[in-house]
Amino acid sequence: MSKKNVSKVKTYRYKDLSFPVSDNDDVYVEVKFKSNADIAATAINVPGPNDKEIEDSGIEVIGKGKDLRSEMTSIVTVVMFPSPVDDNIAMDYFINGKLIVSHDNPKTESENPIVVLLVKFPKL
Amino acid sequence: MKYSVVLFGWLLGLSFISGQEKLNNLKAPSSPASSILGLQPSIVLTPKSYQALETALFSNFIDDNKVVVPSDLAIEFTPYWVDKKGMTIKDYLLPETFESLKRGSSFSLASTQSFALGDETNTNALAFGYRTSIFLKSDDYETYITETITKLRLSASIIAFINSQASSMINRLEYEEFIKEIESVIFNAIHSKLVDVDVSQLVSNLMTHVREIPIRLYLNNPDKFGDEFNSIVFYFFKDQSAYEGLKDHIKNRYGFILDFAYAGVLNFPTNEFDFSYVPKQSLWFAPSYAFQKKNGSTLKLIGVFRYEWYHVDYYKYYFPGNDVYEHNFDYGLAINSEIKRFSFNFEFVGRSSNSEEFAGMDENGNELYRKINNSDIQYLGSFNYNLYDQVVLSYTIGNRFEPLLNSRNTLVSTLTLNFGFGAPDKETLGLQK
Repeated sequence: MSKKNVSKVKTYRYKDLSFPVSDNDDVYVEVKFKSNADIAATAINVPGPNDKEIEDSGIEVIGKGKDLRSEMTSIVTVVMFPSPVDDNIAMDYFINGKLIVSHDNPKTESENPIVVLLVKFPKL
Repeated sequence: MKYSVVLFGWLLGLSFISGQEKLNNLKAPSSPASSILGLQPSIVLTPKSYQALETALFSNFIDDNKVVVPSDLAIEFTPYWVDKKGMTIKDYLLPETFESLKRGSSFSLASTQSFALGDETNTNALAFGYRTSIFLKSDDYETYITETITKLRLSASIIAFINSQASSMINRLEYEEFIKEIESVIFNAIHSKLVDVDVSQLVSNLMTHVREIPIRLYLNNPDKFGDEFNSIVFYFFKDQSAYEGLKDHIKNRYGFILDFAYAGVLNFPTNEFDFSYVPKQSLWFAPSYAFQKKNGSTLKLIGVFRYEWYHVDYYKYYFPGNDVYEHNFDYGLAINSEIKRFSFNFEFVGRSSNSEEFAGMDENGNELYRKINNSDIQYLGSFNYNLYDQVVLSYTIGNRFEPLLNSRNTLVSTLTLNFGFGAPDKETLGLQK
């Protein structure tokens, strides 16, 4: 394992996010890349066994509101290969169509950002 | 933006140098408009949106509500990339032929107030240009790209899975509990996503690195530990060879590429907008084939064809005494290769010019013309050795075009030592896309 390039990986955290939702509402998480031609994976760790994964951009149902209350949900995107086109790496995160985080970092700061979102789903 | 070119050379056979590397001059230029004007502008504007383009045009071409020709301006605009968002790596690297043509389409505009006529009068001139590249992908190219992307996706998937679990755990577990639980997460991730690996050995290796993290995990401040953990997992699973391979490939694509460019000059000999000529137009057509890099060695075949059209009457009037042909064809072939620090280049370039000249009238009063032709060839071989980064020792031998003076003196044999510090290229102009 090379430690030489460790500075290229940087973790960006968006903590204390909250999205009120009713018990029987489905919750959708969407990742939409704005920068071009990145190679990325997003893993969504929900309470229970129904973890999800999104390749680059995409949308996933992560469960009903009542199933997401017991623990925090973590959404982690790893940019494995940075955009060869753009100077910045940028993506938007939506929950049920509402923008909750817009991430943007210059490649000079990190070519391989790890973006962490910690979200709570309290009762609406 | 700043561009600078510095080149120092100790030259033996100095008088021959102007005849070298003719083929490079024939390649489709990055900025056709600047090239046809002979400009090396200090600033090249590359607007990324239509609003930015409008601003660039308005702020440079309008002064006190009057249209002006700016001095030494160059603008490059690539419409395809305006507001382009979220393109996938596969779409980027494996475009269809027409998509590749659209993507590479770039429009250029250049202007100068110093377009010198034959009597040294400086006049205003504008140049317009277009260029594109068409990339034809082969089956083995597509296979290589698909396999490499799959490898990188797999790495990303494992890392994202482990880090998403860890991000939740560091907020609720003490260090010892975290170590115990994350070990089983890592085991499950490797077991479910990787085949033909010694799972226990991999888990054991990664856990050794995790236990060596010098930062303590504190429940009230877990982020520093989490950052370090994320980095360790990233580098452990990163497929370095696929990563570097893809990066290198994007810089040096292999396969067939066809470059096409056009440019024309619009000159205002009296500096008035209501009187203009199009004295010169150029068309470039350059197919090339780069073989896949093997053991760090490259091999590339390049063909070039350039057609230049001159307005003969304009040149007769404004450049009296100069021999200008109406139609000029330049063509060439080259093969170049790099093997570690050594590189060689062989090239053959020919040129052919012709014009029709008024020769008088026949007895029936019809105008008579005679055709004037001129042709010449040049062939050169050069051998280069990279002594250090940016320091190159070169030897060139061959036969150059006939010079105006000493026309029998066409042998080229030069030894040069070159120091270089960068120059604007397709990448810096944003044309590599």
